[in-house]
Amino acid sequence: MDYYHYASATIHKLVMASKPNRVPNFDIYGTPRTVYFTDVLFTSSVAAENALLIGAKHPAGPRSSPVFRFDLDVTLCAYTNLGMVSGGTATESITADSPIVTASARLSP
Amino acid sequence: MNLLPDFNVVCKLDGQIAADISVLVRVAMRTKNDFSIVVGATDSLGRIAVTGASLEEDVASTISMFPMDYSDIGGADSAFAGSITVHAMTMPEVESALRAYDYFSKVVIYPQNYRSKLEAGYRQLMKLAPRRMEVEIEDIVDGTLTTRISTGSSAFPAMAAAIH
Repeated sequence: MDYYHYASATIHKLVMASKPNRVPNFDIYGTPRTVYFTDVLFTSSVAAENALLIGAKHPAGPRSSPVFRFDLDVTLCAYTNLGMVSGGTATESITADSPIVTASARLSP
Repeated sequence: MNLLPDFNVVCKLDGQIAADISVLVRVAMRTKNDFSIVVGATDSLGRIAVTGASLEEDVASTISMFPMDYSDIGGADSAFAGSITVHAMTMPEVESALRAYDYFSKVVIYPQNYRSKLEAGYRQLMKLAPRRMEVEIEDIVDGTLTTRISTGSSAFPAMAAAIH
């Protein structure tokens, strides 16, 4: 199974500058946080937003769109499948670990 | 009108007013991650003035940075659980915050002197080695201060005072 995380340009820059490339499982204040990911590959921001209800389709109102897709290796992560996003069309999983990023791609708008 | 309230925090270590201490504000969410925000440090009166507007700016910035990982406090479909907890940062929390600063500061603009304030707080905690850390929350309602909750703890890490 392949897994993906949809990210902002800011996080993409940080992740690609770090070795190994990992999605941070802490926030800017150092507090641990859960990382969300999905098994559905999207090539455009709008497709990811529609299926996952993020960015412009955020239920509480439009927010910044994801700009990059990370391909993840979650082999060493303990994770939980949450099932289908409520109101969306893709499944979502969570981990408290910091997944390894094996590749990244810029999303089309 | 802000969704999150303005309030003051007064921090005490072993019952004494404590300067230079940073405080962690946690905004509880019903879905996805809670928001954690560092504010401070306390002034010579042990006080920090926190505004709802500044917390909400932080929330918006976090959602933009991690689009998959956070719900929102606003809108018709708000996931805000309705409570905010506040506690004085412990030494391990300050250490984590410093590591996060080193990681994120290439792309995130932190408040002025953020790192040096954390370091000053860390030195205070090292020097005083408090057994008890307390925070008092002062509500600001129509310009009037009201101390709403004062919660103490007898051990590290500090207990939190909550706003509901």
